[in-house]
Amino acid sequence: MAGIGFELRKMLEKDSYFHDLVAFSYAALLSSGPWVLSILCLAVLGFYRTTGLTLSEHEVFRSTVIYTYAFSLIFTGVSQLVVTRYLADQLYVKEHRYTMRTLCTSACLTLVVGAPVAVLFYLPFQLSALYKFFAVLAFLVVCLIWLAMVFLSVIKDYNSIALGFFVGSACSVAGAMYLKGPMGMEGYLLGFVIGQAVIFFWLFSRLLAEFPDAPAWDRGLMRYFLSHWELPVIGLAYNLGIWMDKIVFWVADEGARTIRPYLVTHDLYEGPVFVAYLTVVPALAIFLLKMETRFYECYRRYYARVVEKSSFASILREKEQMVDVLKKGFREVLILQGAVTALCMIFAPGLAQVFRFDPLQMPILRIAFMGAFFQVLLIICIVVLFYFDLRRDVLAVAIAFVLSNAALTWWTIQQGLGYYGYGYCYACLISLVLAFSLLSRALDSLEYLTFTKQPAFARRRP
Amino acid sequence: MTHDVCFILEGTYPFVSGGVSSWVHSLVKALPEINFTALCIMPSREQRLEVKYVLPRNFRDYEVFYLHDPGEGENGGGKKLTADAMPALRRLHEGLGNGGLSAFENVVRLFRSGGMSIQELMHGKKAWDLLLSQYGIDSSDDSFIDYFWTYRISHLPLFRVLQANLPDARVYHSLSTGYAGVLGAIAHIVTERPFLLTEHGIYFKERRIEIAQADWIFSQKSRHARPERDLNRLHGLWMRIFQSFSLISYHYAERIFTLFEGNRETEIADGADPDKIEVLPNAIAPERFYNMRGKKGGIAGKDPLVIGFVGRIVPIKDLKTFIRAIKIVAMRLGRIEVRIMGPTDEDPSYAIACRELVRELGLQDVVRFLGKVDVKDHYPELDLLVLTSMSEAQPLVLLEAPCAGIPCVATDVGACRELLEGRNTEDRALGPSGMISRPADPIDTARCIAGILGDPELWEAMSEAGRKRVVRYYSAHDLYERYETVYREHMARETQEV
Repeated sequence: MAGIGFELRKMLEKDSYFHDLVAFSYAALLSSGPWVLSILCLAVLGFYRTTGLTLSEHEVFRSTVIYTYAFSLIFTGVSQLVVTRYLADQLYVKEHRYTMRTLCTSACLTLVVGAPVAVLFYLPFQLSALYKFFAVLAFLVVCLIWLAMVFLSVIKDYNSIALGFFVGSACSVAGAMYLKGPMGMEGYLLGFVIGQAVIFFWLFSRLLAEFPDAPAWDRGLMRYFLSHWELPVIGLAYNLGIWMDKIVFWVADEGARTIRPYLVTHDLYEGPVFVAYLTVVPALAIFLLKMETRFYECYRRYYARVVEKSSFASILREKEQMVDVLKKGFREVLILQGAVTALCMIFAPGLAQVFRFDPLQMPILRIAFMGAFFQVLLIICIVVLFYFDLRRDVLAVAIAFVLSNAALTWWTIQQGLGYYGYGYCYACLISLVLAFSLLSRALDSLEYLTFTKQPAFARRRP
Repeated sequence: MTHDVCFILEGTYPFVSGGVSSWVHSLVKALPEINFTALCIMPSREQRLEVKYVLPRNFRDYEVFYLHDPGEGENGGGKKLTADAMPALRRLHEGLGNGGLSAFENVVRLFRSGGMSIQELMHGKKAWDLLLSQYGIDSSDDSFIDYFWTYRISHLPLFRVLQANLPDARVYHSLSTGYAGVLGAIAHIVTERPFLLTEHGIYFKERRIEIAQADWIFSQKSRHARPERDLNRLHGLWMRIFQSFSLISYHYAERIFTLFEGNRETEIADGADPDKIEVLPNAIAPERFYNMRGKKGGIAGKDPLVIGFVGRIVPIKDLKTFIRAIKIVAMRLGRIEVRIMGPTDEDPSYAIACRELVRELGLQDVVRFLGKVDVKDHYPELDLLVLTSMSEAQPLVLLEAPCAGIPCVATDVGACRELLEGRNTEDRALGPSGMISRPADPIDTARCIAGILGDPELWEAMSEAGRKRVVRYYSAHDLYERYETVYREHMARETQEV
């Protein structure tokens, strides 16, 4: 993430309003790309659902795509952070040679573990074998896309990434439209898969061009899973946390609808929450663009001070500056996102109409806006905690998030319709408060952590 | 089992050969009735240890303590810091004077009762605060990362020493201050058994020289650095640590033994109680050398006169001064022969420079480089032995040569003067067994050489005084006997119940 921010800052330095906008939208795309894209893709396909497919068939497809995104994000969550960290460490020691090796290894792992999991998952569903096969394929391809995104952060070729996603998404829509005629529901899904595959191969070819290296097994990466065990746990817990409220609604609420056996959906709840996610794009963009660029410079200066034999006082001064920038950035995000969320809440009725929501969903939409607001702040806190390598703190936050989201959502279901959405919102708030207090505690004693976390036996007297 | 004597050795016996090691080895061999064990402090497991001696049967169950390795199975290491831990450490950091030693005892007891956790002391917040107050946040411009690591690297081994396992023994005997001395003090505090200290070289003085020359102590290289102050900071930290090691060792030692008067004075200056110190010089077995030269008669009419130089050919022995002095002597005395005996492999370029000097001065026919030889073969033929060292402790050759009946000329360093002129009134009454020259002064050295070789009567007197002095005061038998008496006396001491 940091590297991207740095490139973006260069774009900003070209100092024109146009470049500002371009950088801003790139930032938005990169930071929230996966979410936004999955939701947009669903929306576009939703608009064209009337022709060719029965309503039930379209719902099967829609649920499949949701499942694909949900479980691929949860599944890749396990490896994503480890790979990110591993790559960052490799790049830090200027080791580019093995990047391709790492990609191959992690892709292999994803496929080898992901395929049986997906097959077993879809096995009991009452769908045609061909459809199930495409569903498994969709899951794997989307997993690979998330993985490729990690590696693309190294390249920083935003045009190519954006174009890849655009072309691929267009292929998905067009393919689905075109193939549903001759092949029906299966064709619809196949079209989607083809489009996603286009995205993956687009990204993959870009990576191949950048890192030409023979594929091989990367043992270092394997070791990282053990030595940085917090990262897979965090990735799993956090991504599971994001989807926990949906999963609880599918499993535990009477309002959930089983379209075909095991394919469950909860229109009433899902719709507003997905739409609410779209509103956090500005916060993520501004965080990536303004805060991370400026903050990252201070961050580097702070650590430079530490290593370049400065006095404690000057290290402290640098730290205070960094904390200052962090606070300012946080404030900016708070103001901007606060305004966006407030507007969304005010104009919720209008928005509900646009998305053809039932009046019953209005309060859910409002509280989901609030929840998304807390969630985006939570993400920012987590990113900053990661900057200081406070993995244990993030672990606590991620676990608190998944547990509170499960428990509170379950509780709100017991309380009835009026409470829907509050579980998610409060889970985000609780986790945010925890993350924020951990972060501010860490910042208070940052210089202490910086030094004393070093193992005492690492360096010997020469 | 409880051993009679436990040596506490730092980087020496039985893994490293050298002066202290052979001293320990011969002492153990000489006292077969006493049961010895040892706690050997070595730097790290990374260096493979190899026992360099055939261990005598009364030296058993020695243990090795690795100073810089992460410890396992350490005794008394706590999980937490107790409430009084930090105040005691803080007090200790303020210095050892003025009640600081009781703080040290406090810290020792806390470490051994589990009230101190190395984990907390290295990574904990309280220890961090102590470090910051030592560093002085507001007043210091010194590189903090260097200070931090120096603090860690210097304190961690000490913390580990404070938890080290101690073999059971009636007497603890350290062969240096430093970590070994601190461990001896700890042994005394914990077991109440007597702690003896023998210093060959002065540990603190040697560290002081090392630290002054060290480049592993980081110093700031910015444009605005004031060298003398920047050096002082971290060097000072190390210096204070080693100084307190000495102070602690001297304070808790029941008796302090050292090789010669000069060392005694340094120890007193470093804070040792004069009443505890006893000078016990190194000794030789006189029968091995006695009167080897004397049997052949005096130097009157002898041609040529043979002058010997014994020592490694290295700059600190200052062979060049010797060669220049020889030039002067050769011009004044006529025919002489010079034998230089010692290995040249340690500093070959210096050896070459010395040979060149010999050629330049036209002494090729006079001076012979014999390399590493058994000096005993040459003692019968030597008429004079010269030592021009810049630094010495108590050179054995100044025991062997006089014992053989050879007068000596030596520079005024280390124990040389007392070896040749006598240590106390009684000793001095024997008369000089040689002459003392000024270091790095060829003219003065030549004056001494010519003075002795030009006067057969003086030569005779010096030869005799030397033989008597060594037999009377530097007999190994007496030395071992003295240590045996000391050991027995302290072994018998009852441990007082507290």
